[in-house]
Amino acid sequence: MNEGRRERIALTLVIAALAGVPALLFGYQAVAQQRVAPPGTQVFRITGVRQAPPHAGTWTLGSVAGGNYWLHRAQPLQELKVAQGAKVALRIGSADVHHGFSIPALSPDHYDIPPGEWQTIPLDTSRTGSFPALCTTKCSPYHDQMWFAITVEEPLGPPDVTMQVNVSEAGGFQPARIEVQQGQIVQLEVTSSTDGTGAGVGFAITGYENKVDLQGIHKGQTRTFKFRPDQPGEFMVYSSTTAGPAIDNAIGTFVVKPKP
Amino acid sequence: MARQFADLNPQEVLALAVNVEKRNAERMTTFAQMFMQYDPRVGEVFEELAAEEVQHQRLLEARYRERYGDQMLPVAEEDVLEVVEAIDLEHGETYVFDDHTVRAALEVCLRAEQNAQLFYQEMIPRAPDEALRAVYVELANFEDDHIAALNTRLQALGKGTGRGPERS
Amino acid sequence: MAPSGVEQTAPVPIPIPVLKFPPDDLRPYGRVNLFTRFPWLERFCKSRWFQFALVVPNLAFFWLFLLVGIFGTPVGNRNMIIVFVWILWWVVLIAVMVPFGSRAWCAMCPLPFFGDWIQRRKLVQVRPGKTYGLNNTLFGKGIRWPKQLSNIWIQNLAFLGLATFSVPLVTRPIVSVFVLGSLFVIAAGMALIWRHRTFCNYICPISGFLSLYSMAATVELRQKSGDECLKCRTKNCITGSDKGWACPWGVYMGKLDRNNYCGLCMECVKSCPNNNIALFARPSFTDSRLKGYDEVWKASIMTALAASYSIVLLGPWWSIKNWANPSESGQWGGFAVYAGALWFAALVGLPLLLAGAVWLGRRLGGRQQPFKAMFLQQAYTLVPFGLLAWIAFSVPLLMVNGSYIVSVLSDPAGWGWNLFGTAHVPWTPMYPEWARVVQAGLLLVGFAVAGRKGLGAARDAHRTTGAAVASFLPVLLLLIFLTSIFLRLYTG
Repeated sequence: MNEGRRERIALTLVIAALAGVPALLFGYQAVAQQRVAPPGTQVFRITGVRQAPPHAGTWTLGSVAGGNYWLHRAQPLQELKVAQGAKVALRIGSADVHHGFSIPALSPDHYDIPPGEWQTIPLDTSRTGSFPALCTTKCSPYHDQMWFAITVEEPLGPPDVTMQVNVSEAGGFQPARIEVQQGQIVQLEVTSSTDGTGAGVGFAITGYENKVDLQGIHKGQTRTFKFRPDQPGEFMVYSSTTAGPAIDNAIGTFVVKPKP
Repeated sequence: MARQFADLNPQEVLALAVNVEKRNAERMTTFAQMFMQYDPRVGEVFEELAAEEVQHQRLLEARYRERYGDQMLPVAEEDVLEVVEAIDLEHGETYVFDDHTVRAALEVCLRAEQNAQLFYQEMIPRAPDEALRAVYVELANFEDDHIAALNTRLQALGKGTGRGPERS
Repeated sequence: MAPSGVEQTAPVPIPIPVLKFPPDDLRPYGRVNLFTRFPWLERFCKSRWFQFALVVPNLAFFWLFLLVGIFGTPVGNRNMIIVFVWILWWVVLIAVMVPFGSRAWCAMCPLPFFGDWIQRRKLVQVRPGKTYGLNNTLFGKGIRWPKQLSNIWIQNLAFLGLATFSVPLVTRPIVSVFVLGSLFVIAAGMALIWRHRTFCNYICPISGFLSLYSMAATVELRQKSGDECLKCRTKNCITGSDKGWACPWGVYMGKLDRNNYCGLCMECVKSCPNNNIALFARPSFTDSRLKGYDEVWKASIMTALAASYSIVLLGPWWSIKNWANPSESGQWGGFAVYAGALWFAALVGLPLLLAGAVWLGRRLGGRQQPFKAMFLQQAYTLVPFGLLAWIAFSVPLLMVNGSYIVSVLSDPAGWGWNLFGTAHVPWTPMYPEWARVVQAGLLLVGFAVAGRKGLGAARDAHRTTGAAVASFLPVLLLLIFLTSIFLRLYTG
């Protein structure tokens, strides 16, 4: 073998090593990600991080890796919206310590997430509403802040009407009476002024529990939710999250006028 | 096939002595080139010593031609089992620690010359005939001046190493 | 030139002992030529593909480690860079490669890969030519490293500095990426400016301790016959040729008598015109000469670090662990105490103890040796002691944490892969109850070798056995003291 050929072979091997390693690594990751759930499933990769600014525990949708973990820039996931009936799976992992994961309103199952490991959790999207997803293992001083909302909505178009509701201990549900038309696409924007007993407040409508059940709205948060009221009548609004006597006893009225 | 030094005849001994000086000159030229990159003063000393070895070589060649004519016998160091005179560095890490000095360069040369003189002196009583004995004596004495010259240079250094100015 | 009578000429005594390389049959230890015993090894070492074949796979691994360190999980025991470098590679290096292979790691290390390529502009072949006195064509500025820095002091301090931050280094992937990646960049950058393996010889912190502990190795690359080297006029081992590069480590094989600075690249094996260099098997701890204070301090630093690592990484004292991990614990005051104690012990305390023992021993032995010579000689006892202490730290590290290697193999980046079905193998310590037995055994072996070497050196330097034993006694007591500290650490 002549010298020139040897050098060319050597150079080829070096390039193959330098290009091949990342190609194999990231290529396989792309393939592996598609295999974690059945075909056609929308997968959300969510990482539990013990610390994030401002020193709060958080779940995040962004990538948390060796290169950015210590920068503490993980953006907290506040709410994950999915369409009713969609095939959805959550790929939950831990970037540091033991976390736990559960969506109590949707399932009694609790998942243990060891450091550096991942669990694939199918999401029940049959029921609409907004449900808290929590860390269920005391992972850090910031454990209580490790939650986010999973909102399942009907796949509706733009809203016909938007209703803003404020929930507070002093005033209960304001406005206390909401009137909409049967068949309208209603967008509710529910803001809480209190954390209640720590789990936030809820917003549910009797007779529409299977459609409108917004749980765990924390102080300062606004949960936006679309639905189409199909049953006319007068219904009671209440908190579906236990939030202390002032909120638990508060009621509002939701009126669905029949179609003209 | 290498032979014992004692098996060489006088002509071969003298031819070998010429070759030894020539080879030492080459070695010291190699060291000079290496040390020019580390300490030019050390490199220069090796260059000077190499030039002296070439002089020794010329002197011995002249003696050889006087006796045996222009055709030099091809007797080289590798044809003989023993090492007669071979200048070499002090230790294997001298370039790693850049610790070679002018004094050390002179001393390695002195050591080699002294070893050569000792070698020839040890061969004298073992010489099988007068002709060979005379050659051994001549070569042993040949080293006198070289040794004296090197000792003079070492004494001129005093206690110093002769190390050149430090260079980055 | 006037001939003078033989009787009138006496050789002028030279002021220093004659340094004559011992002929093979007078070499003080037995050795086996591995090239003769294993011809395939000789063929491999003489092949131009030798170093490339060793380095490029490691280059690929190294690149993989950097990538998973940056893009993979921050969880150390689920990330390949931590598990494979600081558990697998470290233990194999200190417990196998160094004692049995000398600086074999240096022959396959990927750090200087790009530097060598920059200087040689060849990956496999040789460029004959003429560059700064050598018979090769080399590129880069080729500046000579300063004489004042031509020692291992920088490596001593660099390793001590890194070790002070060992907790984040060996537990956080990004810190390992930063350190190893920096070494890569520094090695390549230095090759542009300084000649040969200046980075390896004087900067690389790994090289520092490899140089010291390679003295213990059971292999050596040496000349076969001293006379062949004496007769050689071209010295191609150091100057290079069209068959091999000039020694990138700056080592002259004609007089090499210890392993410390030979990186086993085998270029000299290829360039030697007399086929006079071979790889030999030999007894352990054959090299026993420390050449200077830099090497003495290296031995002291490594011994102190063996204790420190054992305390911080294996010990039960949480307060000290927190002090050593200030970026998580926030205890910077405690870190200052920990770092101060470590640096004091390594740079001042242990050397002072050794110096005191040597001073006392010298008095007891009748002052037959100069202090420096005896100090260097007896400091060597820290080489076998320190190496075995490091192995005693490292082997249980593998016993306890080796199962992580199995799980990480299936999921190198902690992304949820399961390549070989082992990703969920739980942490399984292997015979942890035997760890202290292993540690104690290794420590006692280290103590025994150190004692034998120290006493042997004392015997060589003194006229009588009584004087030798008396001179060695204080050093022996120091070794007993150190051994008891380590035994207490490991066995409770």
